[in-house]
Amino acid sequence: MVDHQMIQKMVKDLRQARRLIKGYQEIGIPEIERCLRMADMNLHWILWGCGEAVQYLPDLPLED
Amino acid sequence: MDSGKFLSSKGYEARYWNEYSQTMSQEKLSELHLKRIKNFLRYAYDANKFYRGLFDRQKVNIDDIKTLEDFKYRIPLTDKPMIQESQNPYNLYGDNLSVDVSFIAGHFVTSGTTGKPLHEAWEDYTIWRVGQSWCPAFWSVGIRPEDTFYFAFDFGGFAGFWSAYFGALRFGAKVISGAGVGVTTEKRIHQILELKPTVLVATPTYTLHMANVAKKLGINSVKTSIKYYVGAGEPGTASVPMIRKRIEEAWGCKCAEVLGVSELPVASPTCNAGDGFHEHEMHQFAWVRDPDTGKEVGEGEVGERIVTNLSNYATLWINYRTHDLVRPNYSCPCGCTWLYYKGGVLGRTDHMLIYKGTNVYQTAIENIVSSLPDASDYFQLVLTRENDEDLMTIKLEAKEDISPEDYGKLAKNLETEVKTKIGVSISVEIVPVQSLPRYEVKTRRVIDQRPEEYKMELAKKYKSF
Repeated sequence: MVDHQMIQKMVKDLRQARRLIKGYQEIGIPEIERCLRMADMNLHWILWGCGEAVQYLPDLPLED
Repeated sequence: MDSGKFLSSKGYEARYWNEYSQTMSQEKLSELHLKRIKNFLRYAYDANKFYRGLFDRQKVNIDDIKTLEDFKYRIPLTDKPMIQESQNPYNLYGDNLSVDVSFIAGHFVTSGTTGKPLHEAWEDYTIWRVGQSWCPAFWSVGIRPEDTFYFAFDFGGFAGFWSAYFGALRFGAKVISGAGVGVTTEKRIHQILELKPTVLVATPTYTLHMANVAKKLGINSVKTSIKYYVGAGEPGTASVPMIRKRIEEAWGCKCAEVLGVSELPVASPTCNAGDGFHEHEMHQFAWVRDPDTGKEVGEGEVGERIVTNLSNYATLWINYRTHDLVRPNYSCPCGCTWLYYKGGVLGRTDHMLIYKGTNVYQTAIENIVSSLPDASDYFQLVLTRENDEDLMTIKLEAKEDISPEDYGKLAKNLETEVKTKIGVSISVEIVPVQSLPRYEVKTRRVIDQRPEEYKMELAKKYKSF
């Protein structure tokens, strides 16, 4: 059974994680920038899969 | 931490790959689709020359799309030839490209089954999204990240094969490619014996062909390491129960299949509890259209699957005609709430044969042929036109151990079965063993030899649906 409360808490935390990641995406170190991009893509995709994210690309401005 | 090798123990016990999205209520799914589609239409209009031109020519104001019904009926249908029209060597992806070419991370082509191959552009995110779209099918049949996949094909530029590979990587599994210079079916069988993969990925017909070749080599395919089969590309284990049974018997494995259209970067999963597919509703919005009225069909009625893909932001597919004939159901015993196509893909609009007033579906014929013990897996449906009437002939190879003296009996049996189960008389010709072509990619079952001008008339009719 899905724990809906846990999902809602996770969604909130992941939105915050994405905000933190965005803060380092122009750090100027290619390896770190690519890793952060992949991390953000995965976070975006979790939110999308939970029916939360409607913005189609992770690169676009955050929705909240 | 209570962890297994790749997932937590709770994760391993999960019934679904993502229970949250796979059991989401229809209301919530519809609400989500509408939000995403409105957003997507804005993107298409702003970033994509093909769609902006189409909407402008058809005088469609995307801001007028307020409901899913508005979307289905006010946004024009699109079809492969419309997209292909603007593709040429100087403009590889044509006008249906929404990003600068530098964003393209994958170049693929369709298999070209229905004509000229279509060039496809995937951006970085699409590669992983389309890969992930295979995972519900893997999970539902019991495959886990510890499994090893063997891909029994040459990848080439065919998107469908690559997407399966990306799917296995995304799933966390080990991957073995069966591609390479000079790799024959015999070599692949020996690779399976040597490398011991647990999951075989191939088209259904090729999978059966591999089992036949193994038998000739004195190898019992049931006793290999293969525990699961994952197929796509042609009507297979979800659409034709007898093919599922034959593959299960030939390899001693469980079967999963995905429903895909090679230009659409998504794989809709087979339903483990039933005989059909679920639309992957996190990647796509789909509805099923009556070819005669243009309206959405009712539950259980046959129509054409129309999809809008939400996974690829380079090449867009909006209200796109798949030409697959399906039967939609809004509930399924497996508990997944995603739109369910009972019986899988029944046939194609471009191969639909209305024969003496009866719709004859390719999969119905396949089911009958594959149920006859003396019939091999190699057959073709040949369409001709005589005296203003469509005619279909089944050309079939008998199994190799059947004496040519018994060919007449086999033909008669098949004609009787078709007459009994479909209600029409179709002639059967038993052809020599090894005379029909073998395919590794997509088996061409339907050979349409009707006059070109007649086929063009049919195409116009289908275009005007």
